[in-house]
Amino acid sequence: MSAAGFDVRAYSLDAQGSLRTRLSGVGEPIDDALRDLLRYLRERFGGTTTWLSLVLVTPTHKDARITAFLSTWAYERHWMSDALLALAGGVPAVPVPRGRVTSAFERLGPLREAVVANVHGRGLSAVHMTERVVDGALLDALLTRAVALAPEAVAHDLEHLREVLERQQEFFLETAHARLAESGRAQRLTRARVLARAWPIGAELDPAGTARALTILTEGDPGWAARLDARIEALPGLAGLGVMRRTAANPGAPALRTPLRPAAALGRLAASVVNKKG
Amino acid sequence: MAFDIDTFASASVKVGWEDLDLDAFRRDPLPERTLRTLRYMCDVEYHTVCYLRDMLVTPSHTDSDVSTFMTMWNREEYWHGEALAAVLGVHGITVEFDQVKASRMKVGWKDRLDPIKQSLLGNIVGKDFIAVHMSWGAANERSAAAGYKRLVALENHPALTPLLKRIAAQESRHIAFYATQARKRLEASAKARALNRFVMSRFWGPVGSGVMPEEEVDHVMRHLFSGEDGSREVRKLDEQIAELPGLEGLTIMADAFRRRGLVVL
Repeated sequence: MSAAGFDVRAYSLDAQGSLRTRLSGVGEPIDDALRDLLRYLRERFGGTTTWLSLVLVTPTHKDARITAFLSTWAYERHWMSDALLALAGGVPAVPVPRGRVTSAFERLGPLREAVVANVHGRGLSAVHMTERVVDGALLDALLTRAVALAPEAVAHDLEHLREVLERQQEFFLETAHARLAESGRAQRLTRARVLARAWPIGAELDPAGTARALTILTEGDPGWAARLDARIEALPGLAGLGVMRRTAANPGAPALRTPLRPAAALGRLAASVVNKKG
Repeated sequence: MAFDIDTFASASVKVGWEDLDLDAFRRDPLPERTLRTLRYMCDVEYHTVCYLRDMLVTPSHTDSDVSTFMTMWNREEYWHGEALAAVLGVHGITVEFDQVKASRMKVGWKDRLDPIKQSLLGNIVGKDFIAVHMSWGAANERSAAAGYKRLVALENHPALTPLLKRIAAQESRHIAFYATQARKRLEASAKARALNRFVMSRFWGPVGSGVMPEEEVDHVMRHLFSGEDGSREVRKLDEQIAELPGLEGLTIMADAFRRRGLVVL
């Protein structure tokens, strides 16, 4: 990987910190739909530590180049999330309540991944990098839609966030490509993992918010899913995946309907009952 | 001692060394044993992500203050590694990502089992386990800051001293966070105090132990904390750590040194 093109040290040196002083759209009046979308994006851009808690328990954490990048990436995402909150009026979205079962799943996530990592090994790095390619592509599409809806000053700020995101995506795209090209096993694992989760990352925590965000996206950009799928499927071994098309059809839920779907639905039903009692 | 996470995050910057005259190291190079210690410190700073991992498998990552701190702390520590790598680079010692990766690979099965162990404990013990991590972090950061301070005193080098003081100043901010979090959580729970005392007294070791080779840990501890001045620093560290609720009377630093056959006067 040392021959890779993305210069992690230059990226780290030039990281985007707090944007508060350079934002021009803070305080600009925005309509409720855009505020809702910005708050949703704020949640998705934040929350990196939860994803990192799943990634760092796997062999991905041994790759110093990846972890060096992720140190800076998490820092940038923190400040991007902060900027989105400021543009949305400074008031965060009301947290979606998490019941006992949901919390238990979240809490046990790192343990599950740590155990699974001993089976899958290095192939998980391909999964993690691809996850961020998919996530970043969708977040960029949502940001682009927000730009179209926003007054000029806010749109200008959002365009800057897109530029920061674009640079991050260069790393994920390059690394995902390299890792997927290494082995068919990594490709198969990545296909299964990408289809098994909801998009963007964290969407399952707010299915209703995800549905609203994707509805706004589809209203202004009906071809987004096919366009993003084409980009994602250009990665080695991911042809025909259709993850965005599936996400558009079923927002906030895992992309693939598998034979285990009824069992999963039953589990969710049981969870909702327990959660209501909790 | 209040800790404002927003102020901390806003003030979080990479440590700077561009204004320092690194050519001073060409005119007045550091001795071999100091370079060996600096290499250890550099590696440990780069390995911060391994400590981050251990913390993130506990319920701590759902706490927004902890999450923000971890994000800033991890990046600052990465830059400490880069700064020390720049000093080593002037001496012809190159630290590349692949070398750091190689040292992480050497940890082997312990590294695979640690997150499982930590996660199991975190889930069994619950939120009280965060108090242990915060105390552990406070002790680590205090010992790191003391190490930099001792190296300043030992070398008194015109380029090294200002750099290490800048790093130590950032470590002090980290100590403030960990100590504030630990105190708050330990004061709130007798179970956390009992667990923390047990873990800290039985398992705490100098920062870097468990990741770095044992002979390197011994070298650094001997280099930095030998003699009357070193012993004074060890005693001071123990006094500070023992100020946390439930840790009264513990001497974990001195104990760790004695276990390694080092003399604490």
